[in-house]
Amino acid sequence: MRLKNDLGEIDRCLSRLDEFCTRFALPAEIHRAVAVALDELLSNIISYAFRDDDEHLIEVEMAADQEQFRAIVRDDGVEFDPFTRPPADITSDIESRPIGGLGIHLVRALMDDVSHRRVDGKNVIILIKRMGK
Amino acid sequence: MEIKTSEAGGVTFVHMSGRLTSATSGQAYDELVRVAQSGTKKLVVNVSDLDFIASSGLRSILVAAKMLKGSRGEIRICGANDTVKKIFETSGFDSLIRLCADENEAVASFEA
Repeated sequence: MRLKNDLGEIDRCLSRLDEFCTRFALPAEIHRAVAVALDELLSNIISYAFRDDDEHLIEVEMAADQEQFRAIVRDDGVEFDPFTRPPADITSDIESRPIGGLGIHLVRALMDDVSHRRVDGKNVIILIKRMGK
Repeated sequence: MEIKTSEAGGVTFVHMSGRLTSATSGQAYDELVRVAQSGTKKLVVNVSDLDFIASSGLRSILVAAKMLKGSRGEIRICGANDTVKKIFETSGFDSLIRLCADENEAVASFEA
């Protein structure tokens, strides 16, 4: 499916994910984990990837077989590999715990495999969640 | 996402249901900050009807927890499903905020 770079579009993507998970009878655990990962990833892309005010299209592909669910997200924003960011601070006490930086941490933690490549001027991110985990 | 606030026996309960996504977290942020600033000393965030929570929702809870800490209040989270629990744990929230099974356990933990 194709989304515009508008935060309101994330809900449309999550609705499509709901349909997909229902059609393939995917377990709730996988459905929820992928929903959070896509929400985080898309809100990052929509908020930070585009340096102009133009409309951009973000492509999201979903596929599943008996072994895994796979989502591929492509955007034509600035080259950025979110997975090279340093790990989030998850140990300091409540006064000094930073408010941000958890989004990509969650994507990594909830997915079994994540990757980024730059192909033909686009960021291509692949998220993989294995069944039965 | 729906959010409802109630009070009983000196404890404020914030009940969230549905999905706390990046699109709906503004609503949760406003309500949690309002409650944290209301002078309550005991806050229970009931997530038993919450499907999942994104990092923006975690931020809202963290901001409320910091505010309560500053006013010597306490916060508990109760009723997390497996996904929400995993999200709290992998974000290190379980070391900041006590997770309880249900509202009764949360209320009892204040008195302990």
